[in-house]
Amino acid sequence: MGWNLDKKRPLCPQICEQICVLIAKGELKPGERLMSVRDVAVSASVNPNTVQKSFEQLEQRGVIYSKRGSGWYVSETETTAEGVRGELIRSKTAAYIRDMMALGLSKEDIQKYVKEFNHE
Amino acid sequence: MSEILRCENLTKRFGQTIALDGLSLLVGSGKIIGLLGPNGAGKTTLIKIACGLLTPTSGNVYIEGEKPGVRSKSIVSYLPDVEHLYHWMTVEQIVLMFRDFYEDFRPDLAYEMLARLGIDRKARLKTLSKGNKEKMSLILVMSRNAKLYVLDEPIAGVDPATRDYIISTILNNYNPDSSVLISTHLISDIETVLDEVIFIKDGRTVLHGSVDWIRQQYGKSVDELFREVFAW
Amino acid sequence: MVGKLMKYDFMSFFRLLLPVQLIIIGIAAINRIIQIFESSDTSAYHIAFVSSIVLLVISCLVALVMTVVIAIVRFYQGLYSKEGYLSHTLPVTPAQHILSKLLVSVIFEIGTVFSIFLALNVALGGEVALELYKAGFFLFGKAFGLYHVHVILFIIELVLGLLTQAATFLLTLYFCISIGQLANRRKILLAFGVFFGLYVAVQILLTIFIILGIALSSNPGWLDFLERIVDWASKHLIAWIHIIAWISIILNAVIGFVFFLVSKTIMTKRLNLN
Repeated sequence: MGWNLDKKRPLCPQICEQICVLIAKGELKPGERLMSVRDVAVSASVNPNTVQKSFEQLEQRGVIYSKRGSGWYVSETETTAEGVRGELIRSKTAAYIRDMMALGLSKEDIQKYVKEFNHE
Repeated sequence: MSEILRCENLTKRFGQTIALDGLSLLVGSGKIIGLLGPNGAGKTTLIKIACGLLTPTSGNVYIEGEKPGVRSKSIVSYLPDVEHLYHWMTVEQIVLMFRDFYEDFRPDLAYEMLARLGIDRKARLKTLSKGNKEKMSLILVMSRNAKLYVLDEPIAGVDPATRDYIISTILNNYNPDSSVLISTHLISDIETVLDEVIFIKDGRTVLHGSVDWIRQQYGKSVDELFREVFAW
Repeated sequence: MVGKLMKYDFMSFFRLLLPVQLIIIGIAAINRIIQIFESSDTSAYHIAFVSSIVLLVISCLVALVMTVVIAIVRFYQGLYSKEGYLSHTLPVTPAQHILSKLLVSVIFEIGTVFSIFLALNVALGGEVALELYKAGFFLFGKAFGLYHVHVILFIIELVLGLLTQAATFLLTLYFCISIGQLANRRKILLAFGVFFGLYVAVQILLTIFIILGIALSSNPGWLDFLERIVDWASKHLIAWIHIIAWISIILNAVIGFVFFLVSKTIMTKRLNLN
């Protein structure tokens, strides 16, 4: 898969987010095995310790879990994908609204722009 | 985190020139560390002292608590910035030589990587292309199960495909309990693989910190910060 | 570890020196073939014969010089050039490096002498060589009859003397090269300078000894001492030769060892690769 990382921000949260996107889109199914830490590190050209830390953070959030000696798996709870998706939508929307408000737009203005926005 | 490399007040003069000026640093295990600095900052001098190829004018260097010597050389895997392999040997001879001298060398791994590159075992080293010579050196260095890998400018002057090959070879083969010290002045190419960076300038450490800390603290990539620190 | 180092030093010497040794044996073979036409007794034969002999002698000398040159080049390249980056990061001590280079160089000097011996045998042909061997054994037998076991001791002393001489010569060159690499530039020039300086120093020392000897000759006590030595030596000639032989062997060994220690210390404390 293609990784798109911004070198200006810490890499750990970015890796977490991109894995969450894969789960939310259903590209990674519940119970499916993730790439190994080393494989992610090599494919994204990222430090293995950073990948390890990201995986551990996702584990704390209950998104993935580790099996001793066999690697990392997407959590099998039914609602995982949905939860991750909801969280992504919330945080992305919040970020968008924050940026727009910084430009001086009101909530109504933003709704108007979103409605009129032509998605080609 | 246990200590692998420690430098105390290292100074190295070449006649009138001061290459290292009281440099101190500490490198722990399990990390990939970038040794960053412009040309002439003292990166290569520091590395050569750590590998026992130069003697400091004053100050001390310790590898796992011992001064450079037979023991340190058996646990440090060094890639110099010059073509150091005995050019008159064949690929197979140099692999066997590494096996003879380094107990931590894994010849099977080296042969496997060489085969993937299509490098013939019977070829003489001097007949290899420049790119293949560099890859060959890296393969030998990374085929060791060393405690400390010291790579001096591994990505200088190589094309992007070779650079990717080099980075993935390092990530795929280094021993996670050990540390990798990579010197370079091409930071943006390599900064995502680093845990820590050490900026050196005029023979001194000017900054030493974790990469994510730098990104959080400054809101900048390491490359941008580097350009600021070394702007003149 | 010295054994492992020697294995790879041997390889590097072998590929450089094998051609040289094959060439002298080849030239000897050519000379032998020319001799087949001896009966023709034409001027063309004489020219060919003499020139091949000259060629053989020159090539033998060249082979001897080449062996020393390659010993020097391999020492410098292997330990003080780019190859030094690998050599000095092997888990091996400087003393082991020097010892390996020295032993392999001496082995190849013996090898070159042996090749020359072989080449001369080829050039002379079976019958002449056989006659020479017979003469040699005859002389040895005569000498053995006269001096008994001392002949064998003399031969042992001669061989030991030649070996220590060769080793000390190489160690002297290693010393010069090691001093030379201390410079940040013009390392080889400095090495030559050191070699020349050593030569001059030895000459000066010898001159001082001679002058001292002459100066002392006016002293009756000294003259008396010399006279007694000469007297003793003429009565115990065999013992005298043994003493001289062992003094020179030990002196050479001591000088060689000092040079070895200096080179080793430079490699340990003052390595200056660039």
